[in-house]
Amino acid sequence: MKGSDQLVDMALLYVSLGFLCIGGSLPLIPDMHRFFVETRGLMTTAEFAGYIALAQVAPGPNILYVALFGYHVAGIAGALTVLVSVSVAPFVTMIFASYMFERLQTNPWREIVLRGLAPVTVGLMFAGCMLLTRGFADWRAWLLAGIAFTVFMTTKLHPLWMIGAGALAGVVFGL
Amino acid sequence: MSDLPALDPSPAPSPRPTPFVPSRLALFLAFLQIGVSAFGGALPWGRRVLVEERGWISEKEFTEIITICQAAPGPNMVNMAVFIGTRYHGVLGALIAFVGIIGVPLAILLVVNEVYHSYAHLPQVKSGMHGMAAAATAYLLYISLKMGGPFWKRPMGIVLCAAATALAMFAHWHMALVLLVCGSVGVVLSKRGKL
Repeated sequence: MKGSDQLVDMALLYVSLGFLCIGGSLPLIPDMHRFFVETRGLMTTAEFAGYIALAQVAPGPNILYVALFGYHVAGIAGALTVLVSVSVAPFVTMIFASYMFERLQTNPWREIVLRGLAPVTVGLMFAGCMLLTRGFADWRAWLLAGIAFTVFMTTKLHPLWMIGAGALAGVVFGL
Repeated sequence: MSDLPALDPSPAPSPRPTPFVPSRLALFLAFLQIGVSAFGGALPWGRRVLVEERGWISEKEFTEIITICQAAPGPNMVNMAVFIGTRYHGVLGALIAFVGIIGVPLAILLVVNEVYHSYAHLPQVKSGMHGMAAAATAYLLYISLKMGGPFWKRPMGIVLCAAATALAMFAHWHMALVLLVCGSVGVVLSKRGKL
């Protein structure tokens, strides 16, 4: 596929994903995985998961990991294409919402819809977690993830410390 | 979405925004500050900068705007940047705040990515990334569980959540279809007070 075709391909995907990323972009991971790894074969699951992890260690909104997918495929142009595409729907929606603030505030449907969508959003995030575990090298990665999960659940440790500790453990034990 | 505020049945009208309007530069700098300090989630930093440090919006208003940001597509703090930018300087303000929160972090991330790749051939780097990915996956699971909120106490909520996971993961349904079908069921259940 030619470079410009790939940009259009990614732009189409991300403009449509932009409309769907209610409750964050993480529930969309299965769709992005399908696109980049399964159907287009542009990267491996390990690379895919690595980019998500890399974006966690850098500052900024977590959505930025999508820019790394674009960068992997088509450099700076790819990163900008993906980021701008995924932002179209949120951008237009929020400008509208800002003008409509008062009216939205008194609409009881807002809470009803949010409550109804919450289980679906979380269910899709679980599917995203399960996809990422496919990149696990062996049982030690599972053990590490288990320990990390226990730490997140039981302490108030900043997540970055645990992600850093995970990197260190990976190096020490040669994951 | 556990951090959704409980909806007061008769919400008091929020105080009108103060007549104070930050300049375009101040708007840009505020969201730049949120963007570069946001490690592991921008929301706490947004609250800190906009409510505590700048005092542009009240605590209550911040919660209300976050609720809207959650109902709309897009990441919460990027949405808030567009929302606040629009309030003060229209569409141009939205663009300014958006570039503020996204621009510099994007540049930092691309540099981090380059550094990572120039050492990616070392086995230690690969091992480190694998370890990091395992911890990050665990963090994603933790956040997913935390976002559940009240529906974990409702049987229908758990069933709906499991159904969405299974349809996406094992039946390979397209995301949009899962959202449409399960989301419609969810809204009906929610309307009947089952969620």
